[in-house]
Amino acid sequence: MDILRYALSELGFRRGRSLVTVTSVALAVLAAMILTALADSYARAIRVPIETVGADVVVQLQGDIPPKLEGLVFPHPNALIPAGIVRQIHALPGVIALTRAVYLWDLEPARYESVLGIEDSDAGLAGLDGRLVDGKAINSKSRAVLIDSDFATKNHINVGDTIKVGHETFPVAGIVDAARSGKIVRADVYTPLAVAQALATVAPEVRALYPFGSDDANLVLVKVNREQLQDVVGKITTLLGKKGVVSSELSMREALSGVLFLSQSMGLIVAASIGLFAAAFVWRATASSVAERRREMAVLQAIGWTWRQIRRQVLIENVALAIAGTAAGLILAFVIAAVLGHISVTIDLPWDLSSTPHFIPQAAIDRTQTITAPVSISWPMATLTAAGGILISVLAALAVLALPQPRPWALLRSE
Amino acid sequence: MTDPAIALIDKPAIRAEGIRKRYGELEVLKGVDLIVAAGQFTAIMGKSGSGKSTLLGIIAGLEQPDAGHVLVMGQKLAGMSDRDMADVRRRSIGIVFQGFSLIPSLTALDNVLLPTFFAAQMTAVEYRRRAMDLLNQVGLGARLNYRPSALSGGEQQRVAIARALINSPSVLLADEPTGNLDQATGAAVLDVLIDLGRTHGTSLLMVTHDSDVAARADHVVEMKDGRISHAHA
Ligand SMILES: Nc1ncnc2c1ncn2[C@@H]1O[C@H](COP(=O)(O)OP(=O)(O)OP(=O)(O)O)[C@@H](O)[C@H]1O
Ligand SMILES: [Mg+2]
Repeated sequence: MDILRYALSELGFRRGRSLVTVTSVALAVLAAMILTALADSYARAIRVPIETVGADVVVQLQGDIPPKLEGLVFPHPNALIPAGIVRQIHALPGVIALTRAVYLWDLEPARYESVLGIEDSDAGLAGLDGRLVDGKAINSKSRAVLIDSDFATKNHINVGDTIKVGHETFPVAGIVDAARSGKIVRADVYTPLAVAQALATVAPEVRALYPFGSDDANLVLVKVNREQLQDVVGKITTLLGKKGVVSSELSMREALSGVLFLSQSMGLIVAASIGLFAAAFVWRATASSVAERRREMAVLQAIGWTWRQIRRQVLIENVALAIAGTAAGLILAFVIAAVLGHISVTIDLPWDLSSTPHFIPQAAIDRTQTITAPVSISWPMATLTAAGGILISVLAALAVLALPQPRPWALLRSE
Repeated sequence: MTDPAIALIDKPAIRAEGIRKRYGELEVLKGVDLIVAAGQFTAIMGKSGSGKSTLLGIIAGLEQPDAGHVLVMGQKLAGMSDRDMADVRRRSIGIVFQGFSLIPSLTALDNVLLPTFFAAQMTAVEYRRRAMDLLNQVGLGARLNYRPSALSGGEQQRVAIARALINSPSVLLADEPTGNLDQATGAAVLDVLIDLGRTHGTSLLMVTHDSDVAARADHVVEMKDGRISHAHA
């Protein structure tokens, strides 16, 4: 207790030095926290486009442009994915779930609509259940379809109406607001997988290019164990060969490298260098204080303190400063994160994640997407940075105190 | 009954034998023998540069002799660990310097308590009471919570005396304790030092230039050219 009181008196007495040390530790902690929080936020933002399709990996094959752009076609440049490859992907270690889909564009002279036939899974029809704004859900056995709410409004379609897809007509079972849901590939019309497969099998412009079988797909959504993402993406890419288009957080990161000036590792590097500067400041402040107090330390030795006890005293002072600085930095970081709220990144969606036929000029589609992600400080990050802040102060103090025990009498004798 | 004089010689507070010390070319101590009798006031006099401070530092264990050895209350300092040496300094030796020996950030009371931080002979409350007592005895009962910067030079030396006595040492060492003070203040501080030394039964070994001070000592030791040239009661 006495030792602590002494330490606090000393810190209060040398207010200038205390302030410099506390400030530099606080700034280092603050910078480290905000930079990593920003980097984290960016990292989360780039996951958004891929997450909005409800999968970790979107698998497609690049194909040819149909001879005629009319009726039901595969979205350019999308091709049939052979069933054997789909099975192999499903069997890869790290793959949690796989959803097959058939994605079609129905091109009429005056309008177009996108059609997605998809399996029942969470990334498929089941994912739409909670998004119903009107009518009923559908499942794999239905012969009815769901339509997107924007599309319904634009074309004045209500539940109970019918809609023409290719040459067939389907009742509209429900209207879904998929735009606000995230978690599913956007389309104007959603059908059970079998329905879209049957339509594709007989569509002339599909048949002209591919021998589409009644159980084939042209879009595969894969849920992956996050730790194995890189591995799985690599294996799928190898399976698909040159024409494969494998979209994931990783490909997004590559595509967006221009926007992402702050990668996670960049944040860490900057934070580490700021930490080094702080350590240098603390070291200097400690060194000058120790130099100023050489006589004081000699007095302590003369009245019965051991050198170890004296060093511990200086160390306690530094730890107290480090704790104060770290606490100040943490509080500031939380405040600034709260003030920042979120970051917004505007990105160009690559074609493989865009659900609209971008080659149709009159569609004039805006393929940019603005993504916002919250800037928030995680507790593990805060704990780690706090430990780092205290560690640099202690190490700086230890570096100063590594000096050999001085000969006290030289400072104390009177001439 | 044993002769008290013999008893004193038998159990001296300090016994230094054959102390030699050189700084580079300069041989400062050329074999000094010194005995400080328990409970008595011994003054060391001598010209500037004669090695008085050097001898005191060696006795306090704050400086290493090149040859010879020192016993404080029968304990040989040579070869002691840092820890044991600190123990001896804390328990057996109180030390007063010429000045500027208080910790500037601490109050008078805390300065007096400094040597007790790692001592456990009494409880914290008892140490506190004793520290206040001592500050009262040196006439600073009303200045307990003053920092050194708010105290005069004489008052600072009184605090240093109280601090030297806090652990009831057997020996008080003082290196020109009034050297920085004017005549009147110095005399008052000396009165305190000598009186307290006597009331607490502490041996006092003091380096001084002042023959009036030496006149009050039980023994006076004269140093010259690194040797004790003359000792008298
Ligand atoms: N650390 C040192 N290095 C080199 N020389 C030293 C050192 N300490 C003391 N000396 C020298 O040793 C000699 C004796 O010094 P000391 O301080 O013991 O003398 P003193 O008798 O106390 O003198 P004063 O009355 O002036 O205080 C002096 O010439 C001094 O310069
Ligand atoms: Mg001297």
